[in-house]
Amino acid sequence: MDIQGIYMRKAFCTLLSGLLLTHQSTAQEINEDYFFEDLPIVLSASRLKQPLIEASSEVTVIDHEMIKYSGATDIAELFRLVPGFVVAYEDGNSPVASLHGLGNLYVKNIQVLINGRSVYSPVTGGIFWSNLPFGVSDIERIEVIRGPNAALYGSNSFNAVINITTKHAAASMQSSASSKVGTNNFSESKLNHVVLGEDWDFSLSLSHKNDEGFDELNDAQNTNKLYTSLNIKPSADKTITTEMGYIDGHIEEGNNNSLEIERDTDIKNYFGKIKFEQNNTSGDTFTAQYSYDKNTSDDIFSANISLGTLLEGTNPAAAAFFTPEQLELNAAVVEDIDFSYFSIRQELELTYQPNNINTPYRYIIGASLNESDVLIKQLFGRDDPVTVRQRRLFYNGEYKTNKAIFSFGAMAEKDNIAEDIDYMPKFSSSYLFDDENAIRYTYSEASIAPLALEKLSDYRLEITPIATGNILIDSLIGTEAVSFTNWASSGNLERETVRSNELAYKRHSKKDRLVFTASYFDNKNKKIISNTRGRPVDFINDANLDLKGYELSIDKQFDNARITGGYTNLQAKDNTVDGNYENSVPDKVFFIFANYRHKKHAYSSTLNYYENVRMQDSGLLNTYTFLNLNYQYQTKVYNKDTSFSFTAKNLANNDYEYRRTNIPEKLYQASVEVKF
Amino acid sequence: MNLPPLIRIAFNAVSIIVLLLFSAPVLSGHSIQVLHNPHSKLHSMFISKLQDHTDLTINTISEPSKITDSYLLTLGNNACETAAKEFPNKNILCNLIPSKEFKRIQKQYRHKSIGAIFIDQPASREIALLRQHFPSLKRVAIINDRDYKSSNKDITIKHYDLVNPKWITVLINKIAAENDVILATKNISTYNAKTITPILLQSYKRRIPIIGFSKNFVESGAIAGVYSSLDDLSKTTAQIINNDKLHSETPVIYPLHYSIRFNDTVIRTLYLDIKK
Repeated sequence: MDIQGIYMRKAFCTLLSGLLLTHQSTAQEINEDYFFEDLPIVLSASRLKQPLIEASSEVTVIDHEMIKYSGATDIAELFRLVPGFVVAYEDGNSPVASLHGLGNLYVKNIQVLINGRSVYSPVTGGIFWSNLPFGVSDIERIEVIRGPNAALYGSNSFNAVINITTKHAAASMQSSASSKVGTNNFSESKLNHVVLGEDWDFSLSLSHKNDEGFDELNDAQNTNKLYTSLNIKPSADKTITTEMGYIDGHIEEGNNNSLEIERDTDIKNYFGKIKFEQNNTSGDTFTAQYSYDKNTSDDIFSANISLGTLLEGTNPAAAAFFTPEQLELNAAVVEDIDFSYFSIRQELELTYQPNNINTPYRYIIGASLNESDVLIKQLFGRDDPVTVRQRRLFYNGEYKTNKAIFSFGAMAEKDNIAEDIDYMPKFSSSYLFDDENAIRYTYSEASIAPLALEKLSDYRLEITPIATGNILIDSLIGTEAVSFTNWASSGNLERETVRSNELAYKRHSKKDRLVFTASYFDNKNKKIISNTRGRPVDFINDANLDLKGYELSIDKQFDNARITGGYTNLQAKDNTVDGNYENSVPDKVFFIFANYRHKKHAYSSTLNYYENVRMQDSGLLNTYTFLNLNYQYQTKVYNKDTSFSFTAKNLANNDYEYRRTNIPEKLYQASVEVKF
Repeated sequence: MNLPPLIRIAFNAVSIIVLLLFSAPVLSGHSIQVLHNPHSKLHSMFISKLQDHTDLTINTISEPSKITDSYLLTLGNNACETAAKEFPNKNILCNLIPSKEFKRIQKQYRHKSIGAIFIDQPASREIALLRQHFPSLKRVAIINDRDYKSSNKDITIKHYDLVNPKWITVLINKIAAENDVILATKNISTYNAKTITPILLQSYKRRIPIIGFSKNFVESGAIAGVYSSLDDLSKTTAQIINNDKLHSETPVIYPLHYSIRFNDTVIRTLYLDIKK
């Protein structure tokens, strides 16, 4: 038998022993090929982040440990662990997360990326946090880059960029099942299955969530989610990543809008993403990514309109002639109000990043095209979708010496709604005293193109009077159907802009396991878009806002404990009569997260304090305190890793949250998770 | 004396034949037989590199029955084991063989004149890499290799057993809490193409660096590694066979030549102190 024959025989024996002995832990024979075999490039340049001390912006990382011990059930809740963030619930299924004010139901100045895929609504610019296809426990880490960062991430990156990375199947390796129940009819069940191959891995996540929301509101939600990811390594230098998701949900709506119709809405979301990454032998990285995202909701209803509401829109002076009881009479009806939501968003992005890490200069260049077809018939006054298209080119470079880092970048963005091309630059310079201490100055500009809704809205209601039995009323409103224009965009809009200057000191000590940052910032917001008072509503660039403040953050880890905290002090001044924008900026934002672990037990608490803050669409100025406690116990049940968790939320007594109707209750939740 | 042409031609022919016959042992001293797997690309590349570093003629053989010389190079585990078994009286120098495998063969066949140039590195060399370039990494974790030891007093080695590869991420969490670095040793059940992704992802997540044992391991995501390339290995082999004119020396050694590779991207991201 020749040497080849011996190899064949050994290979067969190895295969046979492999079939007979699974999970064999004894040493197997290794041969020369083992030392030269191709291995996948796991930690490629594009996947690695630069050290935080070298970052050109303030970056907060919410890592897996903080996510696990936070007790959060909504993704937006996690931003209570980021300095300067205010998180509140507009209703039970609509959390709002805003940074340094300007919070409303549709916060449009924060860019949210999920594994590199942008997820803001092309209609409103906001994030539907409940419509993300995965849950809190699927998240590996979140990076929040505070301050304008449009030079790299585009026009929505006005105030912050939130980069959510989901768990890699190969990293979790284990399948799991979990269930969480709580007061207020809260329940969440989840099944996660992981399959690992030699050069591929696959994960499947199925979940069901039910939440009754606030007591007084019609805001329950009931969602089923499916999320899959498949990573393939066709060769050592290539990676193909695919993600797919599906949501089928049912949410209650009808709070806090002028029509006040309580109703149920069906929502659906489908999305798919494929990403190709090539790392060649010299370390250069090329990526190409395509994503498709379709959101629909079915929301058609009829509404009875009271005399008061009718007169408010048509003849406010006449309201004075009627008693409150009369004003509540149903005076008209609107049929077929169609707030059904439809959007299809497609995005293609290409990037190239040479691995010039050994040289003082490195850079990344990229281009993207995203196109969305969007429609809410009632708001746009049309049956065919509006197309929103953005084309972007960007470049970011960095020059590093022993003691200094200079980074510079710019993005050119062409937007068909804004009908312009805008350039958004950023410059940053850091001085490194040593490996652990640095100061940084950053100047950046960003803009937000007007939204389709702001520029093209044409919101009309066909109102048909109904007989009230009151002669005066009936004669006033007549019997003919009238067309009532609620919103009508004049279309004369420019981009909102911000210019930001920031000075920061950072200390990142690996030895002391300490991260400390202190920063001072001065942002000039110009041409903020808002709606005019009175009917019909128009959208105009009507305000400027000067925002200054300082921020302190700390993250200290001990062997069995961790303390993370942030304090933000803000001063704001706008040029409006009612201070609509400056009042939305909290005076102080503070949070502290503490975690202590002892053997199989872990105790955590999160305290948040927001002083004098007002959501733009609520009209209420208030100070809030939130206190959450979490206890976790890890053990083995039938030899399976099992963890039990108990969470108590809203332990501080707030009168209301966001609106007077939103009365927060103390919530208690318990969960169990088993890994296989 | 003028010989008749026919006789002269015959004399010349006989002279050439005699010369060829007598020169045969001399020629064999300028060549060497190599037992290898003809289908192995790695073996072909090694032979090609070896040819660059020696003037000896390399005669490649894939069937043991064709071996005639008293001195034999073998490539790979199987060729070494076959030679050890079939040729107890020949001088054999095994190449491209891990130290553990060679020691097993040596123990099993008790061959008196078998030597090897190992493909792997001694622990001292790996520890020296840590001491010299990463002095702050002093607590070293080793997985599934209880034999791995270091005499360096500045380094603390802690051994961990991984019974089921499925638990690797849990184990890395534990290791990260107790150590500064993981030193990956040659163990196919722990480190292979399937496990490398979860190991590197988890170690990156827990901010604990890994020292690899091959160039590809470092490119994949380890911070550094000491290894011998095919060029390093063939140079060592050439050094032995060029100096040993009688072809009798069969030393048991680690490669004399080796390379060190760093993954600057990962080092920078993990924010490690490196002294190059």
